[in-house]
Amino acid sequence: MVVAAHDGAYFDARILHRDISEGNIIITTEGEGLLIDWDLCVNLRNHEVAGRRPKRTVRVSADLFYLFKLLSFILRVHGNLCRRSFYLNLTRIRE
Amino acid sequence: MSAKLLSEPHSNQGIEDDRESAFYVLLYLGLLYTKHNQISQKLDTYLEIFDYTTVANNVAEGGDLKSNFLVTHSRADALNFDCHPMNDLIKDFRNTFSVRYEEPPSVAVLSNYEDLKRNPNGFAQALLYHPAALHEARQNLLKERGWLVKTIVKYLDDPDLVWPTDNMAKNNREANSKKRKRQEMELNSGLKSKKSSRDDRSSSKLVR
Repeated sequence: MVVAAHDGAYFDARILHRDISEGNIIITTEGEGLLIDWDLCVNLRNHEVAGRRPKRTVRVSADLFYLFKLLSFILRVHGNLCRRSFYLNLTRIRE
Repeated sequence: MSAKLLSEPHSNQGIEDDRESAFYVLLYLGLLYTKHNQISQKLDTYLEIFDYTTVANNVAEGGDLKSNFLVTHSRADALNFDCHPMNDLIKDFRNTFSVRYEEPPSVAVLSNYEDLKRNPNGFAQALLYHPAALHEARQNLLKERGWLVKTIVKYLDDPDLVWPTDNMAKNNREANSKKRKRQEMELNSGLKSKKSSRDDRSSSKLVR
């Protein structure tokens, strides 16, 4: 479930997606929901250290380093299923 | 995007904002692809909720219609999905998300709440329903782990929930505009056929 993925990222990895929209949710043929397009996400730990919360999304700023960290985390957890969305994400970044 | 971020572009983004976005995604897709009572006439006035923006100093602002949908009853009450659990889910979500756009409890109410908390006088149970306590509880729900999932699952488990049996989702808006187009075409062709029949008559007269 996509909202569960969002919860997991927020509470376990302290990463906020910040771009929830119908274009960023895909449903696999197995009926599994995937939350994609994490290129606007932020690592909240950094912001907590600095004592402030992240500002509203500005299209240019992407926390790329943490994005890759998160993706490798997802890959480790879910294996093959997410590989497809991993590549989808990569293509979205290049755009 | 949440109504709060849209109306205050410089405010901070938190999990409440993402969760509110998720609610709008659900509502938007529901409006476009499932059966409800606003398909024929007023679908566009509902879809406008999501598009409403004003631009000031190169910064997009808006969200008034979103917060309006959460807080006031007129638009939300008029909308009725064929799927009853969806209506209940929307009501539940509106009830919680609206806390962000309501007037917070007054100073008097808050200080009364603090006094009672310190010295409940056997009113500990009633304290749960204190306006300030209810406000606080709803605010906390928005940040609570698993709240969104739990709420959705609650209505997914509703025995009244009926999934559409046809596999192909229909885009209500396109169906609507096609219908409109068809009506326009019929109107035009009707005019033409009247014209042509008149022409026919005149031409047939000539032949005669």
